Amino acid sequence: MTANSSLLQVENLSTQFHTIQGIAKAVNDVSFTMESGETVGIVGESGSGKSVTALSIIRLIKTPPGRITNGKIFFQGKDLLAMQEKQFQQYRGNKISMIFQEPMTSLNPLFTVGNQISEMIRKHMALSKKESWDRAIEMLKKVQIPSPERRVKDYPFQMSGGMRQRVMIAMALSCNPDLLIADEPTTALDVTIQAQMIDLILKLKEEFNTAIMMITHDMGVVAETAQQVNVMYAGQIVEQGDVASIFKNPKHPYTRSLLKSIPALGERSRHGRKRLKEIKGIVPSLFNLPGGCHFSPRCPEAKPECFTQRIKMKPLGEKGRVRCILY
Amino acid sequence: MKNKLRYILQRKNMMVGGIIVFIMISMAIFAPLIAPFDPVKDANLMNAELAPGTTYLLGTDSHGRDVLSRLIYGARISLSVGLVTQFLNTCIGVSLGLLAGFMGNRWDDIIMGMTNIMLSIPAMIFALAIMASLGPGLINIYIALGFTNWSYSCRITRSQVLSAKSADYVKAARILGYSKLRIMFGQILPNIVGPILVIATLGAAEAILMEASLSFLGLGAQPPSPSWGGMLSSARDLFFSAPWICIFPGIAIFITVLGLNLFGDGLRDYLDPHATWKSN
Repeated sequence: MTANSSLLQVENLSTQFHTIQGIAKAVNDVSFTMESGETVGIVGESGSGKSVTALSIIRLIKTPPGRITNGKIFFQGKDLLAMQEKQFQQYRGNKISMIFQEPMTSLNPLFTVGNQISEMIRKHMALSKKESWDRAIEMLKKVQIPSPERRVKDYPFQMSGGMRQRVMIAMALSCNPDLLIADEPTTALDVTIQAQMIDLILKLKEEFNTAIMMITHDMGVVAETAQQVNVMYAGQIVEQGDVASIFKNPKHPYTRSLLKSIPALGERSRHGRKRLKEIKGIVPSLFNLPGGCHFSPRCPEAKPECFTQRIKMKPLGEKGRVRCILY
Repeated sequence: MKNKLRYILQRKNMMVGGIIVFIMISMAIFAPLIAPFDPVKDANLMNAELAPGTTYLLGTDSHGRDVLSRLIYGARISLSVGLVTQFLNTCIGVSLGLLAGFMGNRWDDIIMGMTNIMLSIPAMIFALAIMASLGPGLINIYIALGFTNWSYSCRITRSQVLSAKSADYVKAARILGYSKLRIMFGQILPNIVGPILVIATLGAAEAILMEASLSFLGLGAQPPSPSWGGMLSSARDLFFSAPWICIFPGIAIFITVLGLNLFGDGLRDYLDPHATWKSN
């Protein structure tokens, strides 16, 4: 397969975990592309393989037990999985960066935030101590931390969760990465801070022209931020397309049920008290995936073939693709 | 800087520990200036086993040598044994523990295997064997005690690393492109230094006692050169007739160990930024 001009191109990625209980197929034949400057949402329930996909891209799957068994990942035309570890370290933090869910623990408690940001800057850029310190202050200003000259000397425990997440974002963006993977960046924050954080990420994305991979289980966050959406279920992408078509006209029964299960504000006063739609059943165990379509046991529209036949991704419309027998 | 100094002054245990360690170390360095008598040459059997009095503040031993002077000179051997050997042990143990805990897999298997082998050999016997093959002498004591007693700090370090390495900031450091070595020593080590310091100070005390045992068996500092352990063991038989000869070296060991432990404890608190911040 030749590499094209896309920023990131994931092809048939499969990641498995070999454990005593058996083989967990956490990511199964996942393919998608990202253009530079684009925001791509990856949505799915817990355990659907979103984070493992991200960790596979940044090559931090713990081996053993984890192993990338198949697939290729091209970043700016270079095959990331074929790279030496030493060479790939130049990419981490510099070209590909990541922020994650838990801002309370993702900063080292023993160093001031300025210390941590400037060390990171010095690692990847040829700057002096003073210059990197100034850049750390500037980054804190960019993530809208008040009086950054003073807060730069703070230890992480002196900051609130929202502020720590801002510091993490500052750190992740300090070397102008081309790709920022945001692994549920708002989950641990309360709702008002979530909105601020999303605004901030979008604003900085414009400023730094960084592509963002937004991993979340919150459909609202995706609708707000992403241009492209990948819906994951049990390690597979079941539907992909641009955000408008997925929200207006979801194709896959899973996407449809997912959207139906979001409570809408004001619905109760308009239509009276009603039971919220749920998806019946539970996510299948990754050790023992159902044959055929993985969603078939819970699917309201399942046909007999769904339980036996392997379903391939089918193109649908201009850019969309769906993994369902109905189309 | 001023804040840091004020913090140390506020902490009583660190102050007391620091003062004790400071006194002991200066005693060792300035022994010839402080000691009222020569610890070896001023032996006079006429004065043997004198009780503490005005001339001999802490009495004399069975050879008529001044116990106080011998204690002051003995600090040189005992302290240096405690500090040097524990420094070596801690360096070895911590490095191996970091490797085992952080790298895991084969590194872990090999290093833990070595540690278990070291633990299965009684430390005393091992030290004895090394001393017997190298011959007596201070340098050989450093070697015998400095390279044999790292298994505890290694295990403690490893277990601390295992819990610290799953922390998100370690993951963050990897994602931000730090090398493994840098994460081990720059990110994890500062976070687990507390328990390591405590073990190291306890180990220093143990090393002082080990040196005493080796001296007692004739393999440590050679008589007549004074070491606290040697004084203690040679005076064992005289415990009832002249108790001061072994009580004072015992007290000296006790105070030193106490000082080291208090200081280590205070240092641990001091290195925790939460505590430093509160006092500002």
